[in-house]
Amino acid sequence: MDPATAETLAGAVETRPQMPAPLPPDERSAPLRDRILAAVALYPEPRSALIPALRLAQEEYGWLSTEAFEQVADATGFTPALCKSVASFYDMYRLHPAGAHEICVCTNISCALVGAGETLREFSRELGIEPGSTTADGRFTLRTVECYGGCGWGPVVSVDERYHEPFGPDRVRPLLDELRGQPG
Amino acid sequence: MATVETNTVTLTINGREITVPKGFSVVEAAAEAGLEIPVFCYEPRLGAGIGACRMCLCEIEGIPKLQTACTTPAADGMVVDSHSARAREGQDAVLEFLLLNHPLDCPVCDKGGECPLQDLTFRYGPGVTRMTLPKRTHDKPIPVSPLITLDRERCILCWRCTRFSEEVSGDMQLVAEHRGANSIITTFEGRPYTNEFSGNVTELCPVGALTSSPYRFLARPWEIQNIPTVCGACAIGCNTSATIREDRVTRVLSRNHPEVDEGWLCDKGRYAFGHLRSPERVTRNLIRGGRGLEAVSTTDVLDHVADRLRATVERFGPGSVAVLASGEQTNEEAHAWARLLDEALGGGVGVCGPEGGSWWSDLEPYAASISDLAGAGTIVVAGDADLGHRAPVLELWIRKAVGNGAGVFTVGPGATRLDTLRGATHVSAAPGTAHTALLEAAGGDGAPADALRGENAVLIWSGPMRSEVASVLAHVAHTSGCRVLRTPRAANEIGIAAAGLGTASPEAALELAESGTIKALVLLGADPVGDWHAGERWRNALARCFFALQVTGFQNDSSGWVTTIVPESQILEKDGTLVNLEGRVQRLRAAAKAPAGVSDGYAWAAELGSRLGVELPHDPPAAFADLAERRPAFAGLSWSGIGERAPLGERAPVGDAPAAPQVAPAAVPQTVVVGYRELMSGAAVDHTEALHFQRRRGIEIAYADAEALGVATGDRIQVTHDGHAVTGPALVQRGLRPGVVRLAARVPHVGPGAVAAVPAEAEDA
Ligand code: SF4
Ligand code: SF4
Ligand code: FES
Ligand code: FES
Repeated sequence: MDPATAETLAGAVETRPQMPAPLPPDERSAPLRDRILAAVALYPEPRSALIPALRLAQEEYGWLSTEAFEQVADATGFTPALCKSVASFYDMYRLHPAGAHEICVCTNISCALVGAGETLREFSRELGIEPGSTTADGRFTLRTVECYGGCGWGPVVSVDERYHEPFGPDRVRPLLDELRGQPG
Repeated sequence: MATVETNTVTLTINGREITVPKGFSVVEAAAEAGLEIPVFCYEPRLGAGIGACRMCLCEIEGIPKLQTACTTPAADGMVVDSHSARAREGQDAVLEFLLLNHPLDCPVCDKGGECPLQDLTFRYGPGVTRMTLPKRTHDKPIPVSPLITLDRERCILCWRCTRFSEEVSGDMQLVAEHRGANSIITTFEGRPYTNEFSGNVTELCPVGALTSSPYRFLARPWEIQNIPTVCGACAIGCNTSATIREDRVTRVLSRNHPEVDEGWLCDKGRYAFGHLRSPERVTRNLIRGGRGLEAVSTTDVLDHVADRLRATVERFGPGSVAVLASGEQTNEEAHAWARLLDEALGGGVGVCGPEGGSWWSDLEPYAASISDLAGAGTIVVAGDADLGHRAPVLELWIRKAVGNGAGVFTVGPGATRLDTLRGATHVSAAPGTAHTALLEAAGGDGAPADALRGENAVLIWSGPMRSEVASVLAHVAHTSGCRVLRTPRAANEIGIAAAGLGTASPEAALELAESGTIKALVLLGADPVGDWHAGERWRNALARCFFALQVTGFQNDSSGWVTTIVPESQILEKDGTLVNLEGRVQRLRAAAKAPAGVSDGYAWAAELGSRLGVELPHDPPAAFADLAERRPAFAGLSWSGIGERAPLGERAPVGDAPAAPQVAPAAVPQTVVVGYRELMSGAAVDHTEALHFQRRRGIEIAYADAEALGVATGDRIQVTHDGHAVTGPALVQRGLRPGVVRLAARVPHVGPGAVAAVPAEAEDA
């Protein structure tokens, strides 16, 4: 999704720096290995490049598969095990294929106190899936995450890596309608 | 209390004043004074404390919150209390937390009775749990590999195992996935943990989460005996404890000798004991007669062997008997055979191992000790194969030295694990020319030469020894002042040579056998047909001998060509001494009883002696005393003086400059194949199935060559070399020198060859 689309999403408020959006496939000039090697070259410690390298692999495949870990390992000189150990620590790496849209609801303490549970249940009900799963048509993945650092504006929901805050249960339906209206 | 002294600090722990070196943590300071602070994650061999388990909470005056003693540096004037009510409360709470999800299944846990968690639970913690919710469970048991089992719900997430994997052995295969309370210890997608040091995690784990699979449910700590001995699977001679239950070895543990192994073992040393009870072990004396091999009694076989040896010397004169030892015999056995050759058989030829010769002994004046690596400024490793295959635990010493700031140079065709160490410099040399490259580099004025001349430089040769290589090493050591860490192939080559057996080269012995000078061959654990160069010529020589005796644990390629086979006792069944690669004389203690029918190697040789009219000392201690009297290398040593952790003798003085090395320039063929002897090889591993998954199956091929052939890792390729063809999956190595193909081989070999892709259809057919 490009930033412009994100802006038009109901009530999207960008309050803090965003991670750069993934490059669309046709703009990724170099093969994955070369892009990872370029990232490794930016750091004094190859290990520091693991985070961007994993990110690059996720961009390439949409999620971190066995093969993706093997490629990151090969390019960075670490093992697939270590790469997965790092990736599994963070919420924003996908260890499973995700739907076309990924909805993450923060259920950590601050958000929980202001109703994240209801938001989550509403998503669950609307989509007909449990948190941690993907709709049968492959369009939506619903996940819970830990603190996004937006505790003052909870509940925080991220939709395709964009924050939406505060996100009460009443916003669930309009958001889904809008996403469903989009192609893809 | 404060002093002007700057290198120590003085603090008070539990009312005791303690002075320790600067940099010690509070836990270390307490340990120094013999005071115990409970710990789980802290383990000195893994480096500084990380504060993961919180068990070591202490009260420190002036700091409001409890502190983890393992991460708190001892400071001057610090007042620590690990017994105060608050400290106890903290420790108790931590223990209660650690047990929240722990199954408390001690009655069915292999660690029970020797478990730090069990022990500390008796002494700390509330004694009852307030946890009423269901405990977390996991699938169990999880096979981390055929050697290691994981009972994940017992894990207390102390990170010892993952720190070992990442920082000590550097394999990075055993890791934690996920976060916080959801963390799990795992390998990548359940793949087996294949590093050859993997077994160490079972000793590091402070609970029963990672346990040794072959030991599973075999014994309880009160039913076993731990016999201190040393490993005989390579020349390092790591100190071990063999756990015995009902006369059998059930596991092998490390027995930290801080100058030899620092408490680490490789998996060959730890697990290869499985071969002792293999059903394929030779347990009967066999004499070839009209109807093939026939079993006879020990007395009969001794009479027969004595008779044949006497007849050989009578018919063909003195010097017609040769003893070929594998290199795993004790000093006492070697001494017995050397005396038999000298005193009963008119002098004969003794050969030790396929690399033979006394070249390692020639390097004695320059010999380094293993612990020299700890303080080394520079470590140069030269040779064609990974050092890990020849002397595995040395690699851990080198990794640690690098952590302490040592520089590493590797000279060889590349793609060894040491090449990728931080700050390692790789000097590429074609196979078979590492010594030439070393000579050049050491004589030049580049970085390697400076490094070798620098302080505390250690040079390690990782590969078969030849006279040409030995002369280069001696020359480099003499001119640059570095020391040479020797890596003989088998456990006791240096000792066997020093005991007077095994000073001839295999090639010379073979020629004598072919020319008919040698008419009787005695194979002590050796398999020249299968394991030595020119196996076919050895086979013919054996077939043409007047008498050929094989003393062996298992039948092998040579067995079909000998006339008599006698069962051989194995290292873990022997009493005696071994000399490790530094020259350290260490005690071997018979841990297991040999299977019925297998005589002790020394006792058998002594019996043979009395039949041949040589009165040998009656047991290994007496033989050692005899050895000390007769052989200068053992002079002044005594059996009882060796002790549990053997000291290293004095260094031989460096003598005159050795002769300048003569190095023949080698033509390097376009494709050169390196066949190396891998760690997980040999009869003991062959007969311990649990170890087989650790064999290297790939054929290493350089990146450029793989591209040219159009093959990727995993594709089948065929290598032709040394007169035969081998097919296997390619392992594409970016660091390998183009033109080099490397694979594990029974007989090490470097020479021209060819490599080709195997089409997929051919494979299907
Ligand atoms: S498996 Fe054992 S060593 Fe590894 S983290 Fe768990 S308790 Fe510690
Ligand atoms: S490194 Fe050598 S001596 Fe040590 S355990 Fe392994 S084989 Fe045995
Ligand atoms: S708790 Fe939800 S953003 Fe911090
Ligand atoms: S021993 Fe100090 S925190 Fe584990």
